[in-house]
This record gives sequence, C-alpha cells and structure tokens, in this order.
Amino acid sequence: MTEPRYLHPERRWVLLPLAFAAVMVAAVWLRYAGSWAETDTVALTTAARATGAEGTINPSAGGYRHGFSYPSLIVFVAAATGLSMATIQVTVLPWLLLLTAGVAFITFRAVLGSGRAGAICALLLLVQADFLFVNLRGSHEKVTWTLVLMLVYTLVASFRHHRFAGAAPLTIVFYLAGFGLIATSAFFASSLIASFALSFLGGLVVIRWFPRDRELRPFLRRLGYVFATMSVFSYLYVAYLFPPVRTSLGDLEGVADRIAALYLNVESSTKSTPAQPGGGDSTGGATAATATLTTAVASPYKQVSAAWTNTTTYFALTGFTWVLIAAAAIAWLVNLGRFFRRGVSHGEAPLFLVWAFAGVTGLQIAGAVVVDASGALGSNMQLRLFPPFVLLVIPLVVGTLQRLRWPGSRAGVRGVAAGAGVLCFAYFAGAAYLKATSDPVVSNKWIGYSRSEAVVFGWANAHLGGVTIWGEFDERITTANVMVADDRPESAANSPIWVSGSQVRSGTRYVMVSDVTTRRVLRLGEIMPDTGGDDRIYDNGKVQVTHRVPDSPYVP
Amino acid sequence: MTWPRRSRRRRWRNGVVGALLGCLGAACLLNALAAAEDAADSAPRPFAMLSSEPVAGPIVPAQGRDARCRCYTANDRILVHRTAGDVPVSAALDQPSDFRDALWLIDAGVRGHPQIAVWFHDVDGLLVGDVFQDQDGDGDVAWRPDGDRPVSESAFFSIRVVARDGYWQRDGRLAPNLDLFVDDRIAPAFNANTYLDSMANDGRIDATIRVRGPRSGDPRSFDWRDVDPPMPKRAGFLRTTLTVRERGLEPTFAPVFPWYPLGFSNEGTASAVADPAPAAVPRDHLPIQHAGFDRPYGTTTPPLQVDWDAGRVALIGEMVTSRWSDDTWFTYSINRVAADTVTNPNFESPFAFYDLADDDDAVPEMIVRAERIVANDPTIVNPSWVGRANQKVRYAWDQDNTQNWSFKLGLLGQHRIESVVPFPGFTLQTVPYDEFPDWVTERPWDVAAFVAAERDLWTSEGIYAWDGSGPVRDAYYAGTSSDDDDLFPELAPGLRGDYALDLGDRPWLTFNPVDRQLHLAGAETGIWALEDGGRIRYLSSSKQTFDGWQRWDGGLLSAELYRVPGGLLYSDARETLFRAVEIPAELFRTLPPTDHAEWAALGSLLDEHERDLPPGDLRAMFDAVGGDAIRVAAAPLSGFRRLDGGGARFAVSAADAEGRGLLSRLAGRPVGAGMQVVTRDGAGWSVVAGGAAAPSVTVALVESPRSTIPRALDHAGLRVEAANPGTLDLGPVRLVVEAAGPGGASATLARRENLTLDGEAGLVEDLNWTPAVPGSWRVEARIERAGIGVYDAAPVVLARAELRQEIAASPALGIAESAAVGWATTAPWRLAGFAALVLTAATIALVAVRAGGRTV
Repeated sequence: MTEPRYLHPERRWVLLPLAFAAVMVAAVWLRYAGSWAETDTVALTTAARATGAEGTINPSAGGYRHGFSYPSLIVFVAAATGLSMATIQVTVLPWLLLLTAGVAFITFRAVLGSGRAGAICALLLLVQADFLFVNLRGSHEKVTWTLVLMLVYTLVASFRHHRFAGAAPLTIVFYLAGFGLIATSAFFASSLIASFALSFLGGLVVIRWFPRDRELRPFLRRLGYVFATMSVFSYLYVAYLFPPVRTSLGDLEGVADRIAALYLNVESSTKSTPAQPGGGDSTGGATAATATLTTAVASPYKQVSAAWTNTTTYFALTGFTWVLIAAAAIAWLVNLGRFFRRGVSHGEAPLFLVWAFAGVTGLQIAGAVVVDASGALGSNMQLRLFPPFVLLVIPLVVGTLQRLRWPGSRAGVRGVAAGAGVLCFAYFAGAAYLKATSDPVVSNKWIGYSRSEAVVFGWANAHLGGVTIWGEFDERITTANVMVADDRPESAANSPIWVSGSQVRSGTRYVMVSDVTTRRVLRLGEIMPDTGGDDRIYDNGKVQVTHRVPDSPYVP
Repeated sequence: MTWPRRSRRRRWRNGVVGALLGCLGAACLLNALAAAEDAADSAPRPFAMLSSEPVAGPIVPAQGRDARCRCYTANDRILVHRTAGDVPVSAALDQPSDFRDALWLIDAGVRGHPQIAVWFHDVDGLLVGDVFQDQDGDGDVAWRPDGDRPVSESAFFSIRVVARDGYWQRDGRLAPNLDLFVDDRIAPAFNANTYLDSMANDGRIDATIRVRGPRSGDPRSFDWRDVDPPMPKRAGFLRTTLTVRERGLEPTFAPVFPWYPLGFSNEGTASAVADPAPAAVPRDHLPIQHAGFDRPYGTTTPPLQVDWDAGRVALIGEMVTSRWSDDTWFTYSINRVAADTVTNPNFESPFAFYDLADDDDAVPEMIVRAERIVANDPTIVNPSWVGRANQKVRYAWDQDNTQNWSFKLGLLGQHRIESVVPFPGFTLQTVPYDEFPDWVTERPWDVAAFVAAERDLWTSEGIYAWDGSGPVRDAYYAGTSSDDDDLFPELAPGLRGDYALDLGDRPWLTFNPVDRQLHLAGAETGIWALEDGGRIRYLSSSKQTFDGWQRWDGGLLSAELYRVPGGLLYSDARETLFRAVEIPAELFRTLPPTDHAEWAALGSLLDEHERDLPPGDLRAMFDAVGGDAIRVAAAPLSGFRRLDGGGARFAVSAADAEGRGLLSRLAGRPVGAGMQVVTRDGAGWSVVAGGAAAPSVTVALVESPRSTIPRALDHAGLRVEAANPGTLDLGPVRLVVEAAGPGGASATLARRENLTLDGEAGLVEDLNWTPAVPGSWRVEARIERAGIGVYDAAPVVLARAELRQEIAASPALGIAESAAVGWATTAPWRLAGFAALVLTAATIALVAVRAGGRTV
C-alpha cells in the first residue's frame, strides 16, 4: 500500500527554511555584532544569572516569575560552554531559530500534507516581523513558539493514527511539550489552553448543528482531553510547582488584569519610556514639538507611532502583516463557508483544527484590544497574542490557496506572478530584518550600543560605585549595562545605578553623553542635558561622563 | 469662788481659739496621713507571699510548693516542682536552690493553668532559666512530669536567661551579668516593630542580649543587644542597640515575682495565634508600673514584661537604661556591632545624657546626639552621600534645671570619627562619652540651627525642632539643590530659632543687647513663633548678630525695629521713632556649656543680662535701651534697606503738617508733602523727596561659546534686567518671561511673584532657554503689578521688553548616519548582511516557486 500523499517524505524542502533562518540569524548578528540589548533580553538574562548564582529555579530575587525553563536553559548552556549568559543570549540562542524553522516545517507539512507547502509556510513565518523579533531577542518566546508548533504537530499527527500504539508516542510528546510550554511561560500556556477550550466548545456546536461532521467527534473528544489535562498541569504548576507565578498573578490589582493575563495573553509592559518622571534641571519649560519616546505611554498602540521614524515607514515595514491579516480573514470566511456547506472531511481535520484555533486566537486578540481600549486593563498590559495568531493563519491561508482551483494561465502570466512573488518575499525579508533589528534607519527605538559605551560601564563600575548616572532618554544604556556586566552576583554589589529619562533629576549627579546620544537627540527631538557647567571626569573620545557641580559648597 | 469676769472671757476666747487650732491641726494631720497613704499607694510594692503548701513532686520525689502570692494580681499561683535532686522547694521561694533544677508554673489570677513556665537548670555549667509561653493560643503552657524536658508546649524556649554570676538577684537588684537569648515573637529591643513579624519560636535565635555590670577598673555597665531575625540583608532595622551607664548601678526595683526578672507589661503583646484565649485576670489594686521602654527617671522595672492577659512576654525591657538617667548613653546602629571587631556604627552613636547641674537626680540637664551616616553605608539610599560620612548633631540643655529644655543646637558637618570606645567583646568607633560635648563645641560646623524654648518644653530626647533633617541635609547640604527657601519649617508657638546655612565655624552663641536673648552667632535669619500667634522675624546685615526685628501678626507687618548708625529705629502703624544710643553688637559670646562649671557660668551671665521684656514687644525693646528718643515721622516707615557703608534708608509719608514738621526738623530744612526718603548714616540724617517711576526691563540673549546662532534643542542663555529709577521701592511686582515660537510652541521661562524692586536699584535674572523648534521666536519679559486689573481681570503691565530671535534648525540625522549607528564593522561590510539576506530570500523564493511544478 502506498503511503498517503501527505506523508510523502519531501524532506528536502526543509532545507529552504533552514537556510533562510541561518542567513537571517547571521545577518541580524552582523548588524550589531552582539552589541545590543532590550528589556526582555535583560530580564531573562538577569533571571538566568540569579538562577545560576543561587542554584535554584526560584531565586530569591531577580527570577522570571512566569516560568523557569528558559533561564534554566541559559544556565545549562553557560555551564556547558563556559560562555557568559549575555553572549549566550545575543549570539548562541538566536540560532534556535533554525530549530523553530525545522519544527515549523514539519508542523505545516503535517497540516497541509505537502512538503512544499510546509516550506512556504515556514518561510512566510520567518518573514513575519513580529514573530521574527520575539524569536531573535533574548526572550523565552523562541522556545515558547517552538513548543506551540510542536503541540500542533503532535496533535495533528496523532489524529492520523487510528490505533493507540501509533498515537501514543505522539500523545506523550504532546503532553511533554505542553508541560514544557507551561514551565516556560505559564500565562502563554494558559492562553493556549483557553484556545483549546474555545475550540472544543466551538466544535461541539458544529457537530450538534452539523451531524454529518461526526468524524470530528473523536477529534473533539481529544481536544476535550487536552484541555482537561493541560488545565490540570497548569493548576499544579501554578499552585504547587512554581509559586512565583501565583505571586505574579496576585500582583495584578484588577480582576480584568488577571483574566487578561490568564486568557488573553497580555503582560505588564516593560516600558520603553523614561525610568523616571520628568523634573529636575530646568530646560526653560520648553515644549518639545516633536514626538518623543519620553511620553508615558498609556496604550501600546500609541507606542507604534512613536517608535518609528514615521507612520509610512511603519506600514512599509509591516506590509506583510497587513496582507496576512486580510488574507487570513478571507481564508477563514472561505473555509467557514466550505465547512458549512460540505462539512469537514477526514483529510481536512488538520486544516479544521488550524481554522478553529485561528478563529479563537483572533477572538482573543479582538477581546484584548477591546478590553485594553476600554481602560479595564489597569497596568499597561501589552498584547502578546499576535505571534501565535500568525503561526496559525499562515497555514490557513496557504492551505486555502492549495485547495483553490486555479484557472489555467499562460506561462507568461505565471512567470510574472512568480517574479512578483519572489520580489515580494525578498522585500518582506528585508523589511522583517529592519523591523526585527530596530534598525536606526527606520526605528526611533535603538537597541544597539557602541564599544565606546561598553567601555564606560567597566570604568563606572570601578570608579563610580553606588552613585546614580543618567544614561540617555530610555532604557538603551540601562539595558546595555546589564548585558555588558559579568555573571558574578558580586559584580553588581557596588555598581552605579543607571537611570534614564527625558530630564536629569536633581538627585542624579553624573551624566553620560555619547556620540550615539547626540544622534538620538536629533532623531527624537529630545533636549540634551546641559552639561556645560559640569566637571568632565571621563572622556574616551566618543563618550563623556560629567559630574554636576553641587549646588551648595559642602560636597565635592 | 467664781472667776472674775475678765478671766472668764479670756478663757472662753482661749478655748475657742484652742478648739479652732485643734481642728486645724487635726485636719493637717489627717491630710498628712492621707498623703502618706497616697504616696504609699502610688509607690510600687514588692510581691508578698500569701501562702505556700508543700506538694508532692510529680517529676522527682523531692517536695515542691504550691504558693499563692500577691504578685501581679491579688492572688496569683506559683507552682514549683523540683526537676532534679532531692532538695525540697522552700516555702518562701527565696532560696538559691529554688532557682535551680526546678520548674516554675505561674498562673496569674489563678485561672487554672499556667501562662508562663520557667525551667531552671544547668547548661554547660551555667545556671539557666528557660522561659516558655503559650504557643497554640489556648492560654496554657503545657508541661509534663516525664521526659528530658518538663515543658511540652514547645520544643524550643521562648527566652533563655543565663545567670553568668551563678545567681539571679541580690539586694533588690538583678545580677549584673546576664545573657538572654530570644526565640519567639517578643520585642527584644527598641523599635522592634520593623522585624517583629519575622520572629518565631522555631529554634533559631532571633536576638542575643548581653548585660554586663561594672568590673575591676571599669565602672561601666552595659546592655548589648544583637538582633538577627530572618530579614533580608539590606533591610533597614536596628541590628544593634547598646545602652551604657558610665558609672553607678541601675536603681533597685520592687520585684513583682519572687524571680526578679519576671514582670508585667502595660503594652500590647504579639500573640502566637490570631485569637488568643480570652483573658480573665482579676486584677488587684496594685499600681501599674510604668513599663515598656519608657520609664520614670531613676527607676527600673523587671525586664521580662509579660502581658498576663494574653500570657505572653511582650518585650524585654532595658536592663541598663538608655534615656532615663543622667550619666548614660546609647548607640542604635543599623550596622551590626560584631563581636571582637571594631565597628563603625551608623544612625545614633552616641546619644548621651549628662548631669549638667551636678545634682545627681537622674534627670539629665543636657543631651548630645549624633546621627551618623558613615562612608559607603549600605543602608543609605541617598546617592548624594555615597562614599562620604556626615553627622547631624542635636545638642540641647536645660539651663534652669527645671526639667524643661532651654536651648538646642542642630548641627551638620562632615567630620572624621576615628576614636574608639572598647568594651569587653567588641569595640565601637565612636566618640567617648566624656569627650563628646567638647568634640561638638570644638569643631566647626557647616550648617547650624539654634532653638530656644520660651515656654515649658520637655521630652526625653531634647528639642526636636530644626534638627537639620529632610531637605536641609539630603538636598541642600548634599548639594543636589540650591533652593534654600523654606528649608526650616515653621516652629511651634513658644519656640524661636536662628539658622545659618553657611556657618563654617564653631557653634558660638551671642547675647543680643537689644532683644536680650541668646542667639546663634553667624545666623543669617531667625524667627520666633509667639504664643499669641504673632511672629518675630530676626534680620542680620552682618551675618554675625541680629540687627533687625520685625513683628508680624496675621501676615501683616505690625512693628519694625532696626539698629542704624547712632541708635535704634522703631516704627509701627502710628509713628516712627529714633533713639540715639550707642549699643554694642553683643553683650557676651560663649560656646554651649560642656560641663557644670560652664553651665553655671552661662546661667550667671544670663541672669545678669536677661530682661523681663514682654514677648515680642518691639516697643519695649526699643524703650529698654535707654537714651533720648525723637519722633521721626507720624507714620510707619516702608522700604527699609541698608546701604553699603553701614547706613540705612527708608521712606515715610509727609502727608500732613505734623509729618512735614517732624521731617523738616530732622532735615534741618523745609520738607514738602508726599513720600520722603530718609537716610541715616554716619553723617546724620538726610531727607529727599521720594519719587516713584515706572520700572524698565530688558531681555537679551547671552552669547554661547558653542555657536553664535542658537539652534533648536540646544541650550541658550537669556539675561533679563529690571530697573527701578525712582527713589521709592516698587512692590510687590511680578516678573514674567515667556517665549513663543512657530507652530504654537511656547514656554514660560520665568515667573517670579512678590518681588520688590528697590528704589534706584534693580535685579538681574539669568535664565536657561531651550527652544524646541527652529524658526522665529519671540521672547517677552514683563514687569506686572501684583494682582489683576479691576476692569478686565488682566495683569497690569508696568514694563515690557521683547526679543526676536531666529533659531536655526538642528542638523538632521541622515540615512547614512543612521545606518552607521551601532555598526561594529567597517564601511564595506555594513550592508553585507542585509544584502546577503535579501539575495538569499530571493533565491529561496525562486526555488520554492519553480521547483515542484505547479501543484503543491
């Protein structure tokens, strides 16, 4: 008996996403040569350092309260390689994108039944800027979404086996991956579990009203088991295995915040805004007429317009995303019609699964947007549901295109279409790269730091222990300082306190200004601190550190 | 024989007088007896044994005792069982053997179960008393007659008391050398509320207390408490409290129980459980001793203060007093004073109390306190003090020995403290007790405040007002702010204070011949909050002594008094007077007293020179200096101002004939009507007609060395100059400087309210301006009259100036320059990764499209 076509081992197609992922990771690394930092990367690096220093998944301070597996992974790699945790974050672990690409390929191939389709889906996933960004930075999401893909794969693959012996190994892997997901980020996992639940309920409605879709019953039964089992895992994890999650949930003051955190996959934002409120040195009360990042952002959506050079640039970079959203909406409706008219055939069960999850995820996004806009969310939560939405709608769109009957066309038309597709993909790749790296050409949110700035951190640690130093308008320098520091806990014991803000507060007596700061002033329209009357105590040609002359004669 | 009439009358009279005197005497006697009884009632009484029955020993056969006493209540039960040996327990519970190998079960109020159990036994050859209390909230301490430990309530003692001398009490005092180990939720030291909740009866010692008495060659006794609850390392709480008595012994006390360390508390306790068993203690009429960490001077109490209602030890009181004597001092340190090392304590060290009156009455007449930040203090979060030490000193004394504080100095300085004070087992890097007052008075201080109490005022720690706390030390003194307005808050009525933000000298005090008060030499200003609600403001032109006084009532100036060349000038609502008299700048100058002799000498000087002037009465001060007074004007003066060279000028009205006549006599020539400007200097008086004139104002850009044309987002300087060409002062006025630019950009650069433009003078204001956008800007400076116009509610502008300035654009950040940010590689490689990515993407897409044919 020949194997079904959808199991044809078109393994060579995996080389495309793997090669693309490798080039992408290399290109991104080459942009800053590892000299970059951002808030989530710093948070997880700090958590890893605390985990390594105390030898426990629940360190007394600095741990990541939503999950322990990613910091533990960093500690493991550091112990195995001897590299610093910062280096692992910015140089080593980004290569996990290849693993993600590979898992994405096999998942999409299993869903769509075609290696080529799987490769195309994986490639499209890799040029979705938001997905790329969260995978390339030092966040647990590079592991999280890989595990989610693994879950989808094992679920889909297990449906194809009618006997327990065949499905059992995949089921085991499914639940191991599920627990791994919970251990990586409990709130991401709980949102996914909510997706299972909603899909299950939706499926019940479908088979009730459409009895011909009885083939979905075992599938829905399986979803029910998944929801129940994962819920138990999640409860055990939150209640007993990793108490910090409970503490994190308890810190959210409003019921809406807690529900949103659990089921809508929103998190308290690590603000890209000034660490300090305004005040301090006089700037003459001048009003900054240009948009700056220094305004406290009440909504993540406002941050969009502030983070890029202009709105046109933003839409140019995110064009693929908008196309995808539009295509996803169309594809979902098309499949809704098909399933409504013709039901779900056995071979379409994976597509139905993806269709259902995509719908649920879309509802969650819509719900989160509505709740956020209504102000019910009190703690500046940020929407994190977009990456899972993307990895579900891409196979939905491609799978829908697969099933369309394309009218015959001339070779010339096909050639033009193919050429357009190639150009578009190349464009999307470049745009994703620029967006994922927050390249200063297009972004106001710079994440790179220069070697000259890195040198200052060491000097400051040696000479300015315990004092407060102003380092630019947002967290660029404060995060860079963390990444440059070594992993020993004692190295932070007497280090200076780096602060950021649009103005230098009166209690901050040291100011660092670099050539990058000067450029940022021009880009952001910020006002450079007036250091004309200060004592310059450090200058390496590109970076100066000044000491504010005291306002009274009693201190040096 | 009958008495003669005269004798009979006399006898009646004598009898009546005698009866009256007898009644009076009886009344006096009865009163005296009652007073004696009251005094006796209020004095703490020691316990009294009521009964003592032998009981069979349940643990060992040796006989125990079931005793009743009037201890905490009128009827308390103390059940004593022998736990080892065969010596019977004595009837009076007063033998040394009663406190060894015995279990004491104390039931206050005979409630049927013991609230406190004390197990006396030997540990490593030392006599130990382990105190147990209720842990499970049933109000009972469970015990058992078998096993190694007679108390089963808890596996761990709550307090272990070690009698290092081999005995507990003698001659009405506790043994001088005791160790206490605390392992329960019991306040072991002052200010325990910060960590009390972290303490538990869990086998981990939370506090260690070492009490040591005088020894050969060292008359000191001390109580050293080392607190170590399970708190984070950087938590700020008092890890060490040390109280020291320099000489003598702690007072005796009336013991509450036969075991002297055990007492009672008036304060709340920390119950081991949320709902302790309800109390049912029938309390006697026994007077309540003052307990906790406060106490009457010269007294002491049993240290284990038990809340008998809850059946738990509330706190462990001081065994060497901190504040309640006059030859003691203490250290409260957040840094832990470690054994066998030299520790530099932070927070309070030393806080010392002195018998300045040498009367040995246990009430201190002087306190000297140093609050210290040590260099690199990890508990200090103010980054301004990183790496630097400072001291905040409070130096207060009772000059009259009436248990009321008279004066206080609040000082800020940055001195090195390198002297050490050794103790058995540890050493403090601090100032020795005997040297401390001189240490303060011999050193220059940067910031100083002097407060005098003009009313009765007593606290256990001196005068708190104007200690140099808050923004004085952590903003102004730390150099993070130059704003010296309102650094010292308002004083409470009855207090007056002077301060100098830049003293730079020893804390000299000067006695002013005009107001007859002691002041801080070098003070720049001061205030006196009168008890009638008024305020006296002290002014100084020399920054040495005060030479100006203003009385304010309800926010209005009601009288002024100034020293001027040749005499004193006084003015109130009715008239202005001058008294020609030569007055010295000060009558005497002294440092604060450091010992009894200096204190007595200062007292003599004050007695000699003080006058009983009505508080805040400037007219009385003016009249008291003597000399002839002349009437300068029949109206109040205004705009008093001192001139360079020592003279003074002011304005008065010559609106009526009387006023003109007075001024004419002063000037020696006729004076016209209207406001007149009067000047008094070394040459005498001069009077000129006062003229008001509109002020003028200018605003100009200060050239920057960086660029000739200011750019947007760059800092530029502006100078605003305002002038008053008239001879009369102009005020109150408002200075406003505003900038308006393209696109609605605007900024208020300055807004100064309640300014006074002195006559024939002006002011200069330098401002920082950062234009936000390029283009044409207009900067306007205005002098406005205070208030608003009555017709249109708009400001009344007295003078206006405008500056039009072109602001150049900031250079734009080009794409190439943006692309160069953050690159670690050189130019030829900058685009290599990007180009490779795009090419790879195109290639892969081509493969995906072409390979595999049409179908997917």
